[in-house]
Amino acid sequence: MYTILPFNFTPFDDSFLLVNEAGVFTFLEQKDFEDFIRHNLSENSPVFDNLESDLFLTTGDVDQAIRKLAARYRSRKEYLRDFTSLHMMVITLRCNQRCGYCQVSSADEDSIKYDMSVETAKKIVDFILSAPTDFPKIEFQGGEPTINWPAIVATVESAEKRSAELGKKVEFVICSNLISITEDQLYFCKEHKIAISTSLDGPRNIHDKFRRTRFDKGTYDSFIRNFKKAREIVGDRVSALMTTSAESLNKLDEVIDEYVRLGMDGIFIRSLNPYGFAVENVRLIGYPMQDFTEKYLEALEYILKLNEQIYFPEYFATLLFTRMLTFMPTGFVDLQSPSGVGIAGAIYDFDGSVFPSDEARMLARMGDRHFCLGNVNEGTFKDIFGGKKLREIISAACVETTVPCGWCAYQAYCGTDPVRNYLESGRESRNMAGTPFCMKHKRIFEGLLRILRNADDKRKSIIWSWIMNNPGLAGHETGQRNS
Amino acid sequence: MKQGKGIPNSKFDRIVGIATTKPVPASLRHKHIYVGEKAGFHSLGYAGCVFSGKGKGIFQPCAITQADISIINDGDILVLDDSGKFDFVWEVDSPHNSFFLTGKCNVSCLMCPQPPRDFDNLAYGEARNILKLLQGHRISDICLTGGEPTLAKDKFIGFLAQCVTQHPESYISVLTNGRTFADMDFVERVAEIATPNVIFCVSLHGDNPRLHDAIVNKAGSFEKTETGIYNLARKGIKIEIRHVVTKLNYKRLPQMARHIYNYMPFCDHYAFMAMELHGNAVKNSDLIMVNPVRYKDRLADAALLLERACLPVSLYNIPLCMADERVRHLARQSISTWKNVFPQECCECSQKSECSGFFATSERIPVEDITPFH
Repeated sequence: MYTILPFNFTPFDDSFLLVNEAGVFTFLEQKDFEDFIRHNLSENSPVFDNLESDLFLTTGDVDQAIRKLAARYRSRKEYLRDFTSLHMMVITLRCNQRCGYCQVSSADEDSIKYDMSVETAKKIVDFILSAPTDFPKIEFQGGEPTINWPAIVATVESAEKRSAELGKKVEFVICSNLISITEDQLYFCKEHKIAISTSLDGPRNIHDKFRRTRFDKGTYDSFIRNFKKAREIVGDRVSALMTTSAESLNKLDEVIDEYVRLGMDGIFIRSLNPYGFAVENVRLIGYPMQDFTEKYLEALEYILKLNEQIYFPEYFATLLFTRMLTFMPTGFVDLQSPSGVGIAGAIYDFDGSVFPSDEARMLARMGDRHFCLGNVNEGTFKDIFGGKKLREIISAACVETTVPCGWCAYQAYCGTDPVRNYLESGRESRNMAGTPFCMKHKRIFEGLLRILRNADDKRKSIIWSWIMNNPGLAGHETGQRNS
Repeated sequence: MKQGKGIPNSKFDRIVGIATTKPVPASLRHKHIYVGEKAGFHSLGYAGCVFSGKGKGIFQPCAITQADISIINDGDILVLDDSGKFDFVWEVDSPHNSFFLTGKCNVSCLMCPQPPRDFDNLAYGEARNILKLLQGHRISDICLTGGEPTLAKDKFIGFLAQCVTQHPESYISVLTNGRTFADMDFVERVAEIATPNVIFCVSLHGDNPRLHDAIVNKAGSFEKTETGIYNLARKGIKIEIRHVVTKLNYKRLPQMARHIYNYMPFCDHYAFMAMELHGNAVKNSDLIMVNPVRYKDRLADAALLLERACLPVSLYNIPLCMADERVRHLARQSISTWKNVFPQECCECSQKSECSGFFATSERIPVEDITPFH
């Protein structure tokens, strides 16, 4: 006799996929699966031994089996202990660009009223440093944050001074399109160890399609000039993100080549978010989600082949492979359970309003302040992050307790986003089946599991080199970064 | 254990002492065993003597005579027995010294090279005496073994505490089947004295209860051992998992690695070991004997699974020419100096100095599988 331990399952190609509570997966032939769930599986078979070894069943003490599963489960959810470490500050809503798919509804460059004041910035610093974490990360966003440079300088200087007093260690990131960043600003970044996260959609023909100035000029050339300068001055701490549009969807290989050519450490192939301007321009720049997943998996195959020559990870696959293969915690605000909104990251609008995520802030910009948690001028950290509102948002945002996610085979690898749900359906929690969010992740999970199922030694080594961020595992020189 | 032999010159109780060929001040002689050509005034006052020539009974009541003294190094700790044998209980030049704390064991592994015995091979008293003789000497490695060394719980804790206090500089490994650590109270007591230099090397021979219990020949062991491993980990004690490959478990090597990675990735080291054909292993040879070349591919798959995940993994007792080239770099020189041997077939091999070689104690060495490197 054996006891079946908790797991989810789904038909998968010619067999069944089983994933247990701790994220361990296995495939079973249909016959074995039927026998297994009906308690008819013979103890004298390798399949039986495998299922016990992987903790899909136990012949021993159930409590002991659960303890082992729990240890792995706990480890995978460890990121929850690091309560709200990412703090994003909207330094200004003004922007020098007007991108076709912009998520943040940029304001005209001269609308000074959308700048964060130095006083508000300092208040936010005090607020952030009163959070429990000893390692807060402050990310400057916009608009184009470098346009309101005095607020950045004030924040950095105040945070450095206050954190030294408190024995905390603050990290800074500026999200900038770089097109108008000055050498002085770059030297300031270097001096204060500020990382720069910028945007590059691909080679000129792709990048210039949507990333344009307010005077409708392409930005590729000025981006490249300043990116090189930034790398020279600030060094490795300069990285880039891309957004897939209808323009690049069929040319992802060109985007990847451009990233390699510029010496980027890797790439995150991101799909478009249905917020801000993007909704208005959806016909021009958007695409059905199934097209994205198909092209994403093709691009991933291209990148995996590329990795036989150089170390160049795709970061979304790295995240999901880590969830499928390891016990390691992988917090990721956009896809975790409980949702990361507010508890992994939070965002402060230019006027000091606090939102659980960037999307919640954009929603407010569109006229719905449903997710506003409060304002730094009116409440303490405890009021806002320990308050009823955030608790309610989070407790409703667990895939483990949501229908039908609770019994989805991919639950252990997935997550949810109450803000996106609200935006798309008017409710924070809903039946996710068939939504673009669900379709995207399900298809990518399937694609990645197929890759894992068919991987040879070489490919396994590449995948693990991404997971462990260790080029040496794939036979590349350790410490080799492509710059 | 390395041994020497000669002719006893009288009846005497077992004598423990440090071998010396050079004169030692009279006040310290009772701790030493004099090693030399013959007896005389110079050999008076020692705990015992080993002579290459014939000893004179009148001066030296406790001596072994006509022995090959070239095998003894100054600083070795010897136990003289009036059967004429002398055991090297501590070899000064070896990193593989062990305290055999007991002959008793609570399992009975089919491949055990030192089958459990009712009597204690080296009683705790003698172990304590040896440890005392080592006082003040810098020692790189200490191994506590048996039998199951943790079986006499209080004595074990006392002895480990003494090792740790006396030799904070030494790496101490305890070879155990892990069953005693299913008792959390015991683990808590161990945790109070175990320093980061102490590691518990727990044998786990299967990834499921049927397999492990069949190999250790005792029902319920798998559950106890895995609970033990979890308990040790909970207390932050260092753990190595040792997996001996036999005919019964070699087919499951990759799944074993998967089980270890999924549910015990917190250990400090993982070792896959080829067996020594000695003791029980000879008796059960038909059931368990398998040559390393038979499981070459599976072993490589298993070791690679852990290595890719950046867990520290080693192959013990696997000669380089019998390891798949994908994992050859993980093969270690793991066989204790005193029982390490290279057959004639290895003479021409260019990798001999890097290789584990074979157990001299093995009943049979698979010479037909040796393919020397050039």
